[in-house]
Amino acid sequence: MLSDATHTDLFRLIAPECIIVVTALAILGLSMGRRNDHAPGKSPLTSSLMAIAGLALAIWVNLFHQSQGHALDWTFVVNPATQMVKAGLMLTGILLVWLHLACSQEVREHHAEFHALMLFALTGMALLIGSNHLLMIFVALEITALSLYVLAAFDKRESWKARNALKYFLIGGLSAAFVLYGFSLIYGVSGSMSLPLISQSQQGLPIDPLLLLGVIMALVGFGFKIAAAPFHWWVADVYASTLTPVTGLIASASKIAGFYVIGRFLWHGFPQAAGKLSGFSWSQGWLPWIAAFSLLSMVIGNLAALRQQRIRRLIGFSAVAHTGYALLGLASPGPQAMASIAFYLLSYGVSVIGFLALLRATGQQDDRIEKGPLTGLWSRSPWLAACLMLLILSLAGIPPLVGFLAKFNLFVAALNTPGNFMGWIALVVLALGTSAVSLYYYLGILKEAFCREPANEIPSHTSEATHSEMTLILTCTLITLILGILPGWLLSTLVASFQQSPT
Amino acid sequence: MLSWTVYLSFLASIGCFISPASRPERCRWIALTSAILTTMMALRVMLFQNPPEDGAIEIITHQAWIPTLGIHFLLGFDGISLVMVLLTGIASIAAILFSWDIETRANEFFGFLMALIGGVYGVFISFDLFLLFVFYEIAIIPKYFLIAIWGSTNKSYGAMKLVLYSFVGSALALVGILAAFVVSGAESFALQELIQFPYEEGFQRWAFPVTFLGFVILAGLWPFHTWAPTGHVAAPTGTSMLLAGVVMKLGAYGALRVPLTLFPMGASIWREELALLAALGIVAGALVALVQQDFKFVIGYSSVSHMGFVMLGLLATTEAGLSGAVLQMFSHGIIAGLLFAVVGRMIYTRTHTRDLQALSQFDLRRQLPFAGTVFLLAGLASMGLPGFSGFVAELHVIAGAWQSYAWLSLLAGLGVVLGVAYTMRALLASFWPAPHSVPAHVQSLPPITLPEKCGAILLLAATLLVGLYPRLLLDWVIPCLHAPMLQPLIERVSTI
Repeated sequence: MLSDATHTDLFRLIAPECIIVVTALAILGLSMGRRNDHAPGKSPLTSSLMAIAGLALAIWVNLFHQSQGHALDWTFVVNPATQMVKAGLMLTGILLVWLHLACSQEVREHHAEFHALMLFALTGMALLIGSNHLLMIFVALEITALSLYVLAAFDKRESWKARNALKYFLIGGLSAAFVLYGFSLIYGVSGSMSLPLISQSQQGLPIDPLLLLGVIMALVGFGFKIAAAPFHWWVADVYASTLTPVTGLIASASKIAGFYVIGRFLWHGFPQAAGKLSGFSWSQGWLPWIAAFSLLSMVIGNLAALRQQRIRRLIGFSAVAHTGYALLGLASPGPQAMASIAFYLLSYGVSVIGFLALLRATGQQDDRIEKGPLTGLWSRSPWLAACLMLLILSLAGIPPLVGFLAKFNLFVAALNTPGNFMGWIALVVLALGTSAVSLYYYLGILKEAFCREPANEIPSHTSEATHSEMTLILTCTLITLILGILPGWLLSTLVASFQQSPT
Repeated sequence: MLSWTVYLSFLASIGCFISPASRPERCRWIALTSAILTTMMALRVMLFQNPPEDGAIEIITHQAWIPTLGIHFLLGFDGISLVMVLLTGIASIAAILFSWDIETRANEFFGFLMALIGGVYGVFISFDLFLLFVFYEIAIIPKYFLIAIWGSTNKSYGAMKLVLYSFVGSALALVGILAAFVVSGAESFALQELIQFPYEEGFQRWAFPVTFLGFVILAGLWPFHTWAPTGHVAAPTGTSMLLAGVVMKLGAYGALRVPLTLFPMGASIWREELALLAALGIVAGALVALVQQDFKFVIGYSSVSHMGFVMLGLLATTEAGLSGAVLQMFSHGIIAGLLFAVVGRMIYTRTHTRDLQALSQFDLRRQLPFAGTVFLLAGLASMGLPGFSGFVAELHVIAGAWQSYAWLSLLAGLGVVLGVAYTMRALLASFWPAPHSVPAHVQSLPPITLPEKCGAILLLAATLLVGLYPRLLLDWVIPCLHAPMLQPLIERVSTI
């Protein structure tokens, strides 16, 4: 354990996060010196390139130049698993900055502030991944959340967007209250804030109902963050009204961090209180609750998405469904299960970012527009249409795209849970059944793009994809294809890194 | 060598997709060349290689693919696979020839078609269950676009129904595969390793029906068959031929490879109930075919009836039944392709109607004598006349079913009789209508083209050859039934 003398060690442990913060501050400072940076219509190129460079540097330091260990009473942990997950997080961060650069006509001013806020949000998420202490988890959660609140309200051109941003803020505040209340109960019962110490203090004791209540409260709060049903009401509105990169950030990066911290919170802090899937009462453990959230998310997300005519809302509900699938991976603490969640969220993130970029490129930037701009895409832009097909099929979980393998991994992980086979297989059957439901609406999108003739008068806002957009879309598509066909290396690396990270 | 059937088809698919839409002929030739080459590969193995006496699986490629899950890229074949690969080759050549007239978006059409064919080949030569499932799913998605873009009657509905049924079926099959993998605690998805594990009876009792139903939904088991007629009717001709010809076989083949092989105990528990469904499907399909007015629906329901024979043969779990099922898969693949080709391409694209009443106005026998002859021969083959492949196959199935459950083979026999009835009815209404119903002056129809003739002759030759010399296939199939993989299934039944 770190003594008080070695603050340099502490800095070494959080070096990647420091790099991101410094980059954000540099972007802000640079823009302050140049007045016309705030003028409308200015290109965000400088800020974006700085942000990408900062993130790339952070990845490099994170993967290759970092000491492993923990500091300040387990407040910060760095181990192979956190390094891998952080690298994935920052990679999606790069894709998101790129997305912002590609569709910069969407935000016309305040690029520096926008980038800085995105980087702050990513810092919060990275800290979240590395924290093993209730207070640190809460602080990191709030750093992320506050940045996201501002980002969600960034587009002030229309009042309904501001309204949805306010909704996000209020619900987010409520969820923070839940988390805090849960944490205070846990502290009250166990007398400790650090997850390993909490786990030690409960060794051999029966499950304390009050402790479990605290865990469930915190889970409810986390459930808001990762968009699990029944805490999902904000999702469709926020997805519909935020700027494309912000939607991407909420859909991909924040889920990666959220799931990782939930997994660590539950399995490192309260492994004794997991319980069995068979029982469902206050003294039975938190596993039945995870199963219930998963079940509700899969069913509600998919059924609600079925009725959406507006694509951004549809993605929102399908995101709820994907959260439901990913929750299956929390069934067991093994490295295989944790790796399967990380793999799933990474692949989902890449597919969804590619899809959002594609929607943006076809002029589908907000909720007001239905599927129109996608109609007849095959004849206007065959390459975009091909990318759309691969991305959507990956989201639907069709092989050989990565979405299928990612889901398959989760199912194997859930079924490998000792003792609860019949319970989990029921959930897996439900997951497969709801996947069939989801195929209906995913194919509905592809039907618009492939099976319809293009409308005679293409709406005026429809623009051809710029080079930058096209490159981003192609990159995301290639990743979903290549990871689907050759996933061996990444999966083995993930599993190995989780195996080497007992804490 | 046989693994190139998969690679070549996918390469051809990519080649078609990226070739310009303004050059349809290029895509046609890419697709046709690839289909001919892959068929030659299968023929080469079948004719110039001796079938292994122990029915062993010949491994072609075996490489670790996803080590954390024990998934291998494991391609191989035994006699049953080889027969199915050959069927796929012949059916795909014919389907491409009968799609020769596709002009709109031809590059995409042949791209999707070749992707479908590649997936089908992949299923037939995969011996890792994960890989098999991957190919199985790859074969599902192109069908949607093939039907929804180039189809006719109610195409959106037919396409979506077909894909959702297939997907639900594959989901059930995946549950069975996953459960088999997890319960056995095996380190690998390879079929040969999974069959080593003695699954306990309680597990097989639920795993078998789930997996079996999952697969046979795609084979059109009554009452889960309703996707088949609507899908077949909505599909463009080439796709109907492949759908009825090989895609439905994927379901039957998967049922034989996975649930029947892995869970023989579950099979012996459930086979009677399921065989009853298969036999009912034979009769129900035939009865419905008897009253259809749309010519293509007649063929669509006859497919359901004929696939009932396949499943009855599988569930008889005797040697005769299983070999009959494999023969019937081959035979129906060829004959259904032929029937759909005549109705969908030769007649419908010229007359623009498939209504049996309306067709009598065209004096088809005089205008399209070639089509008439082909349909007559195909109809005879479909009825199960000796000399055609259908006869050998259905005879085997009925004999096999007789050994297991005599009364069901009576139902199957009734199905054969009904088959004669609906085929004759369609034949008479379309080609030999009552003389007074033919108007004196009929609009003249364009003649049959060369690709159509080639495709029809190829299919007719295949059904005649197998009908006259079934040993060509049986020599490959029979040893597989004695192989250790299927022995538990057959032995268990003979001991009851």
